[in-house]
Order: sequence, then C-alpha cells, then structure tokens
Amino acid sequence: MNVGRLFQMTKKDIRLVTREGFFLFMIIMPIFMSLALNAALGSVGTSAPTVGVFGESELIPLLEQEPSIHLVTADSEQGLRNNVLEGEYDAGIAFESGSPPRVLVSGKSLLNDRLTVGATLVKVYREQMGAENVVSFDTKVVGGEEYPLRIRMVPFLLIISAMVGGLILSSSLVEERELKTLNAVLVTPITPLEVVMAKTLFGLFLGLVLGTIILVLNGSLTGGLYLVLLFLILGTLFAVGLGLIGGVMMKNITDLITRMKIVGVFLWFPALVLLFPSIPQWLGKFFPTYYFVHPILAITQDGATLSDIWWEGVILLAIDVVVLLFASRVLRERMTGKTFRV
Amino acid sequence: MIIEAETLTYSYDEHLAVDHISFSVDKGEILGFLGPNGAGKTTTTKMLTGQLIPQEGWAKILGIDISSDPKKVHERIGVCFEEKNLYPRLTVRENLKFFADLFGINPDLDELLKRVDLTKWADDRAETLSKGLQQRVMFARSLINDPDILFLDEPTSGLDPISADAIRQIIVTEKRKGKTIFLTTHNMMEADKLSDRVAFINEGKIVALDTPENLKLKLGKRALKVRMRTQTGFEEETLPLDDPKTPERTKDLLKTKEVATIHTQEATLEEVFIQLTGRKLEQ
Repeated sequence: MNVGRLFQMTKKDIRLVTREGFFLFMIIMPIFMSLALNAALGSVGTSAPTVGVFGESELIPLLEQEPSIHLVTADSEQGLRNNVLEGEYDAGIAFESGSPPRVLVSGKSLLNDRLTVGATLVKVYREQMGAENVVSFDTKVVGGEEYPLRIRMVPFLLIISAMVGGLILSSSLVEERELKTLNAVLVTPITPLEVVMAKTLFGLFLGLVLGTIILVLNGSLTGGLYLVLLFLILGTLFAVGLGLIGGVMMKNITDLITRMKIVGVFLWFPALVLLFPSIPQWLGKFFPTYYFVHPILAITQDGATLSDIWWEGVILLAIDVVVLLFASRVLRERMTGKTFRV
Repeated sequence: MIIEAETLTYSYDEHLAVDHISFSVDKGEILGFLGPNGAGKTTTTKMLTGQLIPQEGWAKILGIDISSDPKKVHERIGVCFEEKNLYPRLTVRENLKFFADLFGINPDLDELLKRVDLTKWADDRAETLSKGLQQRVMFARSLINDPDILFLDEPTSGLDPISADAIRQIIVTEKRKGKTIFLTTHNMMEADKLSDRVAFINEGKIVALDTPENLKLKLGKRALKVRMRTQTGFEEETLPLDDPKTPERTKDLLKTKEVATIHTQEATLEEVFIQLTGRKLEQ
C-alpha cells in the first residue's frame, strides 16, 4: 500500500467532487437542512415551555438556571405582550420596579406548559425569599416525546450525512467505470486495492466530518464524545460498505441513483420512527440504521454510557462486518483479471 | 525480445475473442496489429497490458510475466486507449499531472504539452475539448512516464490529417529513441507507413505476420496502370508487372496512344488482408 498514491487519488477525487454541482449539493444539503431546521423549529416540540421576560429582577438569573423552562429576553414590554399573544412565548413576565411582576399567559399555550411555568415561578420565588419549600417541584418528562422536534430530526440528518459518504464513494467508482478512466489508472503503478482504499477512506472521512458538523450544529455533540464518535464511525462504515457494493454493481449513475432511492426509504425508516413517537418504537429495531442513530441520541440527549448501549454497538458492528464482507466478495468477483470489469 | 506472447487465448462467455496467438516484438520495433473491429485487437492489448489475465497461454513484457507481476510492468509501459477516457472535470494539465503523480514522477509538462501541440488548451477542462484534442491528451498521457514500450490503440482515430501526422511523427521519434511500439489500428495506410512488421488478426487468430513489403510482395498484386486520353475522355489499362508481355505492351501503348499517366499499382495491405481473410479492414 503506497500512501502517496492513495493521497493523489483522494486529491483528484476531491477536485472532481467540488466541480460537480450534484456532489456539492449532496454535501451541503445536510448542513443547510440543519441550519434551516434550527432557524425554523427553534424550541418547537421541546418539553420546556418558552417564557419571555422583560425588565430587571433578581429572579431572572434564578429563572435562567431552571431546566424546566426556556427563558428568552424580550426587547420591550409591548414586544413581550405581542409574543405571548401570538403564542411565540408560552408565558411572559414583566418586571417593573416597585410593582409586583405581571405574568402573561398565552391562551394558545398548553395546560402542561402553564402548570410548568406556574410551578417554576413559585419555586424560584421561594428560593429568592429564602422560604422553606413546602412542596418541592422536580420536573421530569416521561413518555416517548422526550426529545424536542429539532433533536428528533437529527437522526434523519445523521443518516443523510453517512449516506453522502457512501454515495460519493459509489458515484465516484461508477463514474470511473462509466468513463473508463479506471482502465487508464490501472495501467499505472497504482493497484486496484489502493484505488478502492483511497475512495473508501475519502467516503468515510466525508461521512464522519458531515456527521460531526450535524451534531455540532444541533448542539448534540455532548455527553460521551468518544462513544458518539465510535457510533458515528460504525454507522458511516455501514454506509461506506453499501457505497462500495453500489459502486461496483451498478451500471451507471442513473442506475445508482434509482436504487439509492429505494434503499434510502429502508435506511430512513428508523429516523421516521424516532421522529414520530406515536409509532411503536420497537419497529425501528428491525432496520440497521436504528443501531446507528438511536445510540447517538441516547448518548447525547440522555447521557447514556457504554453499559447502557453496548448491545446496540455489538449489533451495529455485526451489521458492518456482514456488509463489508459482502462488499469485499463483490469486489473480488468483479476484479477478475486483477482489474475491474467495465 | 521485449514483448513475447505464447498461445494467448481469451473468450467472453461463449465468444472466443483471441484464439491461441503467438508472436514477439523486438526492442525498438513497431509492430502494427491490424484487423477489423471485433477481430481481437483490443482484447490482445488488454492481455499484454495486464488488464485481462489470459485464460490460456502467457505474455512476457520486458521479460516479466504480465499476469504475475503487472505493476512492475506498468511502471515501464505507456498505454493509449481507443476510447476517450480522460477525467472530464479536470483540466488537460491536471489530467497529466495526476497520472505523473501516480507514477511518482515530476516530468516537464510544458514540454510534453508542446510536443503534442496542446499548450493552448493546457488549462481547459477535458470535457470542453474536441474529440481530436482529447485524443492528443490521451496520447500525451501515454508518454508521461517516458515508457520503454508504448501500446497505442488507434492513436490517430478521430484526428484531422495534420494532427494525425504530428502524432505519427512523435511515434517515429519514439522509435528512434529505441522505444518499442505495439500499434493497434485498422488504418492500413498508417500501419504500412509506420510499422516494421504487421500482424493481421482475424476472428481471434493471427493470419499473417511479416514486414509490410514482404506481405505485399507475397500476396499482393503488382501491376502498372496506364491512363490514356481518348476522343471521348479517358481509358485505363492495367498491366501485371510479372507478365513477360508487359514491357512490349507498354511500349506499344506509348507509341500508339496518347498516354496521360503511368503508375505502378502496388498491392495495398488492405488488398492483402482481403485476400487472406475475405474481409475488409474497415468492417
């Protein structure tokens, strides 16, 4: 294995990818979607109600520390009122020196949000006054809807980012076969294994970088970082394995894209299950990508450790081994005469 | 011998593409490999360059068995393919640089571009070039590692006459430098002009292998074509050169007719090929 040749092959592939609109779109799309979802959804679907505040009070720093509410500062009292009326805030508190604070509650807010806001305010007031709590409130969200909508979209984006790595790899292989550039490459000192390795590493690198960007943009790169990276690598390896199989077996780019659409539905199903908690969650466990995205969500959102999710890691590793073994078999078969059948 | 092939055989499923062919090429020799489409030329080239492993027989390039150590051979050969296979989104220079990098060398690309008259298009993407210019880039690519052997598959196909001549000139220059050239073509004029020897391949078999001169002498038709002016136009008479009566008849014609032109009508390689196979090269 010659590292210099692998590097030259990858450098050439990066050049080719950046000069094709379709490839660029595939890379930019998940990042753009992340930014768009952040902007559009914000706290929609979060379990914590949004409370707007205006004015100055010693209560504000205490409210900021409360995990059960999402505190936002309004520009003006009128702005606060408007946002509450429009349902942008579930509640609003206007602080005015010399007067008791005015609490505004949106008619559009949910009952559980109103209760949460009320209970939090009582708790904070008591803390500030140094009064002993008669009742202590500990907000605990139960049921499947534990993740905000924005976070529930992360599995979709993670699967996209991993698949982009796989798709770029397979497109690159298919394109080289279709244009017969592979024939020219393979009569130079580079070996077929080096060609495949260079493309695989490029796909893996791309998938990992995109996955990391998605997690960072969604504020999800928290918890056990090494564990997140481990699942990210295992998930991207699965996509890269599929990419290799597609790259060797598909006749041309059109064929590849058509098949990818079908495979895409299968791969995205677990993300769909996680997006809609009303769907029985166990259904997702029948699909390989579940073992990629669910552990990442569990680590980043629930602080799961290896002891909680090790079995999901084992299943994902087993899936990777099967896919990569199949990919290597396909590669061997198609490399009749130590070359690609083109 | 620089190239040795012994009973090379390859079939695609049921179709026997190359059928037990044997030949050898000396250092500094140009071997023209002629045959119509589908005769087995490209399959033979693929076996000689390690792109296909022969199902029977063997080939040694520079004394190395191509099937057992193809990469050692690839370092010292250059291949120009018949089908256009450049990276379309890379510029001409980037295409050449990438291949130079794969060989781990740093050749003078400007000089190479100048040799094939591509300097003007050096920074243009390959996808924007005409078919002829792309062919020239592919030819330049095959020279990038200053190879000992050049495998050229239809190197002048699709080129205008001036460009084709320029390529032929480079082929001759490479030969003078001691390079061995395996030239696959169905252009018999080109093969005749460039090759030291030609091999005719038909239906996977080599049907003749000799110098162009010998082939034409052995199998060709030597004749003299006399064109004469008449009251209504022109008339032609073909006189076989090997016929003892020809000198007398020529004298006769010169005396009695208004002779416009006299040409020797040598047999062409095309005619020799037709005689041997009953097929045309362009088929």
